[in-house]
Formats: sequence, structure tokens, C-alpha cells
Amino acid sequence: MSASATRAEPLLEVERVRKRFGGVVAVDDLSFAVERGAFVSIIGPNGAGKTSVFNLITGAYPLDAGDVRLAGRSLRGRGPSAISHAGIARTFQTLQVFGTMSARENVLVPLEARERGRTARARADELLALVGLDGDADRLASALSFGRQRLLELARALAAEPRLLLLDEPTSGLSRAETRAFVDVLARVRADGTTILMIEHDVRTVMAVSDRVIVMHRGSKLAEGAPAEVQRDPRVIVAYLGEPAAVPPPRGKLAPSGAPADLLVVQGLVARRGAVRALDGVDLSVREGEILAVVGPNGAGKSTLLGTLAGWFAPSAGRVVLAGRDVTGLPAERAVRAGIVLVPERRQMFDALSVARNLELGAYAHGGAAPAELERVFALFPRLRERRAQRAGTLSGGEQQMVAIARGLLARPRVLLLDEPSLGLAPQVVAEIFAALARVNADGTTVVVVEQNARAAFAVADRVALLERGRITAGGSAAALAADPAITAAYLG
Amino acid sequence: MVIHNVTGVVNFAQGEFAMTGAVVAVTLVGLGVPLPLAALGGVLAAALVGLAVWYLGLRGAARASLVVQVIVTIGVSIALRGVALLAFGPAAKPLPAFSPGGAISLGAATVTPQQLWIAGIVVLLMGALWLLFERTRLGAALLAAALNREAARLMGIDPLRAGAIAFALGAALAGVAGVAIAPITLVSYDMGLSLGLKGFVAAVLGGIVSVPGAVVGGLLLGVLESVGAGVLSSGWRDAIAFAILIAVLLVRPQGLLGRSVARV
Amino acid sequence: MLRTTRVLYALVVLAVIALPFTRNGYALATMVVIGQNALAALGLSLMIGTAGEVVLAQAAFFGLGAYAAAAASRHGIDPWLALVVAALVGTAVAAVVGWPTLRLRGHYLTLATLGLGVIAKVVFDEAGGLTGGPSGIGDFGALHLGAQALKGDLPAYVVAWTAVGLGALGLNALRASARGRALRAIAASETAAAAMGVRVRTRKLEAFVLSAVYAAVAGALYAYYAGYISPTSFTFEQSVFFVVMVVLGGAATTLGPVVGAALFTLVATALTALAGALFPANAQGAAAALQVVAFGAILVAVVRFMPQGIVGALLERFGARAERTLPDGEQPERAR
Repeated sequence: MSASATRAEPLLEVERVRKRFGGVVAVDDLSFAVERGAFVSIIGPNGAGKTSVFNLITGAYPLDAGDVRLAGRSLRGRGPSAISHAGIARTFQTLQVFGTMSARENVLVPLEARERGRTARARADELLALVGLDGDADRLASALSFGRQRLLELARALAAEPRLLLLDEPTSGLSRAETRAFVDVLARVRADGTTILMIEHDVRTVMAVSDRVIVMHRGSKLAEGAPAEVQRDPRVIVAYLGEPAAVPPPRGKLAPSGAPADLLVVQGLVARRGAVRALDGVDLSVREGEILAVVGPNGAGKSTLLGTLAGWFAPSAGRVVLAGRDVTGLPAERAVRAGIVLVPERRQMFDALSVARNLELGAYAHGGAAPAELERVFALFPRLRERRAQRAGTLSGGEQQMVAIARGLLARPRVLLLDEPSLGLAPQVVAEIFAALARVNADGTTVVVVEQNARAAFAVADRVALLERGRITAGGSAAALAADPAITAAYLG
Repeated sequence: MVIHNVTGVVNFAQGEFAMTGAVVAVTLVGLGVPLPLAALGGVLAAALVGLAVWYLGLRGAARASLVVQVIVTIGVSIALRGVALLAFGPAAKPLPAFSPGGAISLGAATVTPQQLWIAGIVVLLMGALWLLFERTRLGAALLAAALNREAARLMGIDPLRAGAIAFALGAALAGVAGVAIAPITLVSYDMGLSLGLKGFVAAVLGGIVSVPGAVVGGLLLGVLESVGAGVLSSGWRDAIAFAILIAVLLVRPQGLLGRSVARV
Repeated sequence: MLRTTRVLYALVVLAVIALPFTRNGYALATMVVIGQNALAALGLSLMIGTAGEVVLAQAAFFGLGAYAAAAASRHGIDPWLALVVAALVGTAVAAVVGWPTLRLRGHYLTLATLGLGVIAKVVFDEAGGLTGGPSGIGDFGALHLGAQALKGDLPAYVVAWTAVGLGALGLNALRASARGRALRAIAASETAAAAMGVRVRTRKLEAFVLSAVYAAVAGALYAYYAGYISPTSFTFEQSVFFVVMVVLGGAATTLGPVVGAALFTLVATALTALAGALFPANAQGAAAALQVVAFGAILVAVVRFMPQGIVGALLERFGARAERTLPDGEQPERAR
């Protein structure tokens, strides 16, 4: 298959494409090509810019620079609808079925946009049969199960008669059985000669179906090659698991005397994101004064876990107890007052406000920061003292992360939750952040950190829990788990 | 403007808050209440109505779709007009100027004392708002809720309470505007629509997030309107304001269309 | 079509046919107004219920049709032909205004259409040569059958409800067609619809134009029935009232706007009577005020507690599957 693919001329050419949002470069000078008939996958850690690439190809975002060509013709400046007619169809990471319409009508929409006339209905039923939804043709799309909605999106995309099919995390949220069924359908689609470009975080699926894999990291292409090659590429392993050399110095924490008490206890926590059971019964305990690292691949439910603890999402079952007090389902603004403080993913600055006012807001819940508290965070991050008058939106990513952590500390946390503090940061900055985290902890703050960058997390953590598909699948001391092959397997198959 | 920032709702009833302020002030004056007290009463009434609208109409719809929110504020808006018409009657009534005296010449231009009052109030309110947003905890919380609702919650700020405060504050400001311009324009139950929308145009013209921007936008709109009305006839004044509104919506879609597809 | 829906349709059609035989002149006159309102509301339901956008300019198009027909008749064009002129003027104006405006969505589109409505009102007031200015215009003839002028309630009733019937059939056909599906897809997810090749702006423009044409024809019929038109009939409030009719009845069904128009007109009439009893001194002003208050409150209440409208609620109650007219909020999984 790959032999014939290399002979074919490229169907899609992405050439030196660039896109920035405000100060953040989402896609940076990216080039790649997809040959006619090939199945190419894009993988990469969270925030690598994968979905942005799809939005650029399909015209949902205009290009800042570069060009996208389909069969040699430039798509620059064309809108989503025109690009769809040129022969590119897509599915969406967050499902976008037409919920108020039946399954058949969903598939009819792209067919009718192509003036298929009388044959449209027959073709729609054919496509529904192809993905195994022939029994659901007349059911309302929003009434279908999540897995079936994913299949419906696939059928709908195929109805657009694509020369190139873009799939954005098509198996995300599916059970293992549903994933297998989806992969079977993909095989049938490929048999019809459709060229496929897929973003996917389930590395097992990627390895099983792809001719070629492109690894993205921080907006650019890190590696490209056959699945097995990429899997062994040390740069890829580093991109996913972090830089071994970036480990901060050993910590000077005194061993706590006696058996530490459980500060935060989580029992059987279940939370849904849309139709997905993102947390499927999580049991976890956090001991007073420790750093617990929760690691796991993309889509395992890590952010949902922290979001649910911090009150962003409501749990549908389970219990959360903080120091003997039941805090299950407290909304975010009250969870803070109870002492659960989240430093969110992507830092969530108040961009237009100065660093000083961002910090001030951190102390909002208890009426304002004492001078000594401010001194403490400035001692931790001296750079923030220099930049206190600067607008937070103009800071570098690393500095924003420092503000976010400082802001969290000023809220006087009983337990500080950090969501992907290393996201999008250069290795030396990551080391700096984690070193600061170790100092924060040495001062007595209990920390739970969710990280994809497992190696950085291992270096500072007392204990580690592995989260996969919404459940804790392994746990123990950081030292014991560091060598566990289960960790690498969870990330890279 | 404040309301829009904090709650993300374009409030079609904003002008009616201004009308409420003016109508209540005129009525109180009619009852023999001294003008300063009546003006204060008008502003308070506007703020109370704003709060009531938030709690009765919008609080529960905070997470509903845009269409629902639009329709709710439209409904509130016309209901307020109706109440005013019932209570106040259809006739336009004057409010006495804040201070007596004829027009004052300033070189080629003449200004009335009331116009000076308005200029003074605008400057004063700008100062007050600046102090509120830059120097107080409450102002910081409102700004935070406006800039990043999710992050604000993580700081312990309740977005619904921020919304209520923003509604009361925005309505009070609208009330001030209504009372201040009442001596110039006369007060009637249907003054709110064009006032509110002109306010929105001004805010958009000036850039929807900054207080001085809105003031500059308001001045610009006033100039454009007068020039346009001079060229055509005064009846076209409103049409010009709304033509500008539409033009502005179309020309500056980046901030206005919202983030079209943040992460699909 | 579902059985419940069929039964409802049959009941409405029977009632409409049977009414003239009761020889109740008052009821007949009310039904003429209901029919004209229903036609404009049907058009608007296409934007609100199918394309998911709130338009606040329906009274402007209603007035546009009225003035277009009046002006055409006064220039010696046959009134029946003048109805066509009204439809064409509605098409042209809606197309010219809609193309730039429909780049906007949500709040901003509503705001822009509100602006259009106000501008139209100003034009009606100020373009005295054509519209007669604030005092209005009359004397533009009537619809006729041969040499016989169609004056009075019964002919107007027949004409109005024939138009509603045709309008409803047309709307049903459109909803079931490829274009209707494309519109519903846009309302469900504009992003996905565009990505599937639906030409979003063109489809929305078509809906906007058709919606305006319904209003223009309704306005023209109103002009011939009333024999006199003035800008006070084509206000911002009236645009809101058309929204009330659509939302009250239910925007996703064809029957909804018709039922909504009927309920609206009946409540408005009742409020007028109430105002007469309560405030004999200023009955007209009080009626206008009561209506505005009541419909403002009704609008808020319906949207909050019965977003599918009355017809939608009835269908749900009797086991039929009604579409939710107004989409739920985004990200329902977020805890508050």
C-alpha cells in the first residue's frame, strides 16, 4: 500500500503554513503532503496545533502565510463551503451532528448541497448502511448514542464525496469495542480509494491503520515516517514523555514524620462531558503535604478530573471529601473558598489586566493578599516583581504560567491543582516551573499535578497515579513507577 | 456597555433603563420633589429595574442560547415601554434644566448650561468608573468576570452575582444618561429605543471594552448625526444613527461576530 | 405527516372554511386581521424556526409591501398586479439589504435588522411624496373581480386565508425540500453545515428574502383591506409582535405561526376592550400600552418556559415528536 502511495503524486500539499492567535503561534511554518490513496495520521501532544491545521485546510481559519493545495490547485482565500465542494470533507473532534434532524437527513445535507437530485436518498441509505446505521435512519441524530453519532459524522462526511477525508480524533470517547468497529468501517472506506488524513491520540489505532505518521509539536512537524519508525524515534518519545535532562535538582524536602493523613479523598467519581463518561469511577487519595502526579495519555480524563474537583464540571456520581468535609459538586466559585484551587490548563490569564491585578484577583476570595503573601510569591518568581505593571497578555508563556501559579497560591489553597503546567513551554522553562513547584510543596502546600509530560512530573512527585480511559489503572511511589513499562505503553502503544 | 461586558448579553432593554430614569425623575418633579432628589430617584429607579430584569428575566437564562436571550431582552424592553406608557401617558414632558440661564457663547459656538452639565457628568462618571475598575475589589471582580468568566470563577467570583451588579450598575448609568439629557430632548415613554441603540453604536464605534472609547464614540456619533441631519432634514436623524449602527456592525465584525469557531 | 399534526391541520382548515357560514361579522373581521398577521408570521418563522435567527424588521417589510402596492395602484397598475409588484419590491429590497447584513449572526443580526426596521419607519415618515408622510395615504383602489370591487370583510377573508393556505403549503414544501434541510442544518451547526458544502450565506439570504416577500404580500393585502395606511402601523413594536406570534405558536411548525397569530390577535382585541373599560378617557393609548406590556411578558414567559411554542407543546403532549425550536445553551455539561 505504501509502495503505491509513494508513486502517486500528492493530493494535498500543505506548504509553509503559519497561523497565530494573538501572541500564540498555533501553526509555525508547517509543510507536508498527502499522496492520493494514502492514510496519513497526525499525532502530537496536546496543544501541538493539530486541529488548527484542519481548520486551516478547510478554510475555517484564514491562513496567515503559506499555501494549501488540493490536486495542485490553491485553496487560499476560499471559504469552508467552497473547499468542501473542491473535495475535502471533515469530521469534528467535538461532535457536530445536526441534532434536530434524522440520521438520514444529516447525510442528505451534503448530498443535496451537490444537487444529487433523485439519487440522493438512495445514496444516503447506502452510506448509512456502510457505517452500520441502516437501522437508525429515521431516528433523531441527537437521540443516537455517542458512538453512533461518530459514525453518523463519518457517513455525513463521506456523503460530501470527498477526495480527501479529514478525521479529527474520530475514536475519542469511544469504548474499545466501538473503536474496533470504527476502524473496521474505516477499512471499508479506504477500499473505495478515499485518501484519509486523521488526527488521533489513540496511538494503537494510529499504528494499526496508518501508512505514514506525522508528529506535530508546538505547531511544527517534529517527525514523519512509517508508524513503527516514528514509534521508536527518540524525539517523539521526548515530545510525549518529556526531556529526561530537564529534571530539576533533587528536592530538599524533609520526610514527614509518621504516616501522613489523607487530605483529599475521591471515591467512585463519575463525570460526563456531553455523552462521554470522561471519568468512569475514579478512586484517589491525596496525602497532606505530598505532590501527587496524575499522568496519562491525551483524552484519558485528566483535565476533567481536575475540572470536576474544582467545580467546573458537575459529577454525576461519587464523592469528594476535603479534610473531612464533603465538597462534592461545589461550584467553582465556592470550591475556591473551601480551599480547592485550580491552576487551569493554558493558564487563563486576565490578559488585559496587569500582573499585579491578576495576583490581586487570586486573593479575591478572602479579601485581598497580605504583603507577606505577595513577598512570598515574588520570592518564588522574582521575574514577576519586575513585571508587575505589565499586562498579563503580553507575557511569555512561561511567565504567564508563573502568574497562574502565584495567583493560585494567593488564594490560600488547602490543595493546589495544576493542569498541564508544562503545556507549550520550552524544556528549560518546564524545569524552572517544576523546581518552583517543589519549593511551593516544601513550604507545606499539598499539590496535585496533571501532566502529559510524565518525566518532569515523576521528578518532583512523591506518588504517581496513571489515568487511562477515565479510570486509575496504576499507582504508587514515583520511584517505583518510573521504571514501569505500563507508563510508556499507555502513551505510545 | 458594562452589562454587555460582564454578562455577554447584548441588552436590548438598555435604552429603556434610561427612559425609566428620565420618566421617574419627571414624575417626581411633577409631584413637587426638588430636582436633585428627583434625579437621584430616577437613577435609583433605573438601577432597581435593572436588577429586577436580571433576576426575573435573565439570570435563569444565563446559559440558554443566544436566541432566547435576545428574545428575553426584547420582551423586557417593550414591556417596560408599555408600563411607562400606562403610568406616564403618551405625551412628552419636559424636565427643567439643572441650572437656569440662557445659552453661553464660546467663540463661534453656543452651548446651553445643560450641555455643560452633561459634559461635566460624563467627565465625572468617567472618573468614577475609572476608580471603580482600577482601584476597587468590586471593579476588579467585574472586570475579571468580563475578561475571562471561567478563570473568574476560579478566583471565587460568582458570575451570576457579577451579572446582577453589572446590570444594576449599567442600568443606573443609563438612568443618569436619561435624566441628564431629559431637559434637552423632552421625556417620553418611547425615548428609550433610539437612546439605547445610540448608546450601543457609540460603544461599538469607540471600541466596546474601554470607557473613554465609548465616550469618544458617543461624540463622533453626535457629530455625524448633526451633520447628516443638517444635510438632509432633522427627521432623518434616527435613520442616520441606525445606518451608522449597521455600517459599524458590518465593518468591524472581528470583535463583534465573536469567536466564530474557537476550537471545533 | 404525523397523525396528531394531520388532525390539527384538518381542524384549522375546517374552522377557516366554516367560519363565514356563521354570518358573524365581528368574527369575520377579526379573522381577516388574523390571516394577514399569520401570513407575515409564517414568513418570519422561516428565519426564527428554520434558520435560527431573530429578525426585527418584519413590520418594515409589511409596510414596504403596503406602500408598494398603494403606490403601484395609484399609478394605474391593476391591484392584483400591484400585489406582484409588492412581492417584487419586497424581494429586491430584502436581497439588497440582506446580502451585507447576513454576514452577521445572533445578537448582531437582530440588532442590524432592528436598525433596518427603524430606518424604514423614518423613510415612511419622511418620504412624503411617495408615502404621504406621517399622515398616511389612502385612495388607492381595491382588489376586484371583473368590474366588481371586492370591498368588505368576506372577500378580504377569502383572499387573506387563501394566501395563508398557499403560504403554508409553500412553507411546508420548502421545509421538506433540500433547501429546507440545508437551513435546518445551518441552525443546528453552522460550522458543520459550511464544512459539508452548504452555501450558508446564500441559503440564509433566500430564507430572508422569502420571509420578506410573505410580509410584503401580507402588507399589501392589509393596505387594500384597510383602504388607508400610515407609518404608525409599521413600528418597532409591530416587528416585535410578529416575533411574539411566531414564538407563541411555535416556530418550527407551519401551524405554529398561524395559531400564534390567532392567539395574538385575540389577546390584543381583548386587551383593547379591557383598556376601554378601565381607562375610558384614553382608551386607545391604554390599549397600546397594555398590549406592549402583556406581549413583552408573554414573550419572556414563552421563551423561558415553553420554548417550543403552543403548537409544539401540544404535539409533544399528544405523543408526536416536535422539534425544539430554540436550541439549548452550549456546553450543557458545565456545572454552574
